[in-house]
Amino acid sequence: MEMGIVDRMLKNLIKKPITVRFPWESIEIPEGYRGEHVFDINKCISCSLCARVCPNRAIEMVEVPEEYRDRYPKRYPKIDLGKCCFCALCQDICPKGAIQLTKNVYLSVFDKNAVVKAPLKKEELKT
Amino acid sequence: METLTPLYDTYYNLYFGPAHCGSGNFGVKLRVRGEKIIDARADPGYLHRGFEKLMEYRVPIQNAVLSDRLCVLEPLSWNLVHAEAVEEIMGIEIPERASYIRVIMAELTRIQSHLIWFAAFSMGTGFDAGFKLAIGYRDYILDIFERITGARVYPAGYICPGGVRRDIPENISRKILDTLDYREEEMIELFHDLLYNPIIIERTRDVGVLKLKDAVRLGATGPVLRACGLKADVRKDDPYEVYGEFDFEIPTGRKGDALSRLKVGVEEMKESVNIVKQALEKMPPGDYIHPNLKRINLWKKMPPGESYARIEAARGEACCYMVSDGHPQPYRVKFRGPSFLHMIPVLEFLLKGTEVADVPAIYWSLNPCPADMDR
Repeated sequence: MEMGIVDRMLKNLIKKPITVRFPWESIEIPEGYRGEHVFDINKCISCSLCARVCPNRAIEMVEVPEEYRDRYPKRYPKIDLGKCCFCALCQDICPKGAIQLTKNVYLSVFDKNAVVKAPLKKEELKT
Repeated sequence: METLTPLYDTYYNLYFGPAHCGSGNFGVKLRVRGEKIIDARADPGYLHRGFEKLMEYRVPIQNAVLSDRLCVLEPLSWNLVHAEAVEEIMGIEIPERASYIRVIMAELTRIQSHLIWFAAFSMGTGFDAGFKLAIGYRDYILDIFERITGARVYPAGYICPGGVRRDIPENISRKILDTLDYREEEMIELFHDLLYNPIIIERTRDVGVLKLKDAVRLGATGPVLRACGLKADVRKDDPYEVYGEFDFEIPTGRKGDALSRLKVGVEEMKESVNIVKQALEKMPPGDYIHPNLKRINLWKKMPPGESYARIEAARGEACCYMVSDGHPQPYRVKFRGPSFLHMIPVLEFLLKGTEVADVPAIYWSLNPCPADMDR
């Protein structure tokens, strides 16, 4: 399949570019992508299987702040996304489906403490 | 009167890598006299991460995740060889559908790995358009991986002991066929440009000639050995998974120079496309993982014993030797990376007596992966 240089130039003139202009547009991320975790504390039974299966030991079982301890008395996973390799073993092993990996891949932050996900979110703490 | 050292006796040490933009985390110490290379010493270890030791502290499903990192360019092949070694030691029979999925993933990995090979080769020889095109076509295959495994490059142990971690999506076979048909046509165009370009031919023909006798003596495998004319392929010689059911050819070269190695690579990609199409047609319905392993049985003890698995990765023969002493963790894991022998004995042998300008062409025609060499 040999093309002359003129044919090729014409073909490339009408061809769409292979890339997208990233910060303004991005390619669609499919279902089942292994991105940021979402943890549902109401489903969690504190079995700590996720902490044991994590290959990078990114999950630590911690207690929630004292004012919520009567409602959530057990220990819950705290996920350090800085150590996480996004293998989704915690999602696979969770018997109740409390940890789910979402399609969110925009995880860059300026503050290094922001990558640690406490079991209770700030919004939940306020209510 | 004392004379200065005669000119012909002076030599210089030239460092090609490990932080050189065209060597990829691997160093070669060259001793040059003028333009001539009189000696070459490979200098591995820059990318050593100690996987074999790390695996002694983890259970097989965690090791499956770790085995991706053995080689960035073909993680699924290393998943496969690790999973086969664990299955042999634990005596697990995997479902037939899982075998077909494994073959599809392994062959797609081979295609994208060869595309990186040509990208790196083009970059090394100063053919920048080839680099960009090859990396661009690789992205179409990464799109398929993204849909199946959940990430573009690292599948996170997609091929795990017992089968595969999740079933392939329903509409994916249409997408794979579309990508292969569309890409195959353009790929042929790309390699027509690359391999029939007079500049590339001048830089690769009769450069780095490896005779069959030397290739066997130095332990070359994969495309490097096949380019010397020997039909050696683990997929045919010692079929694993369901490779025995497919009809495919093993391309070989004749001269054993850099050009014939690249040509073998192109032919292999066409055969891989062929195998993927056959596998998609024949794929049976059923389970994708051994039923007892669906809820990952983590702390199940491995029976004492040892196992040895080998597969044909894109670069050559990838092997895994595993010893268990009855604990959930393996006692010892040893990986044999194909790049190790290509990059130390074969590269040192080929570089001796050549010229400095031929170093990138010889280096990249061997399809090196420093990650699987240093491990």
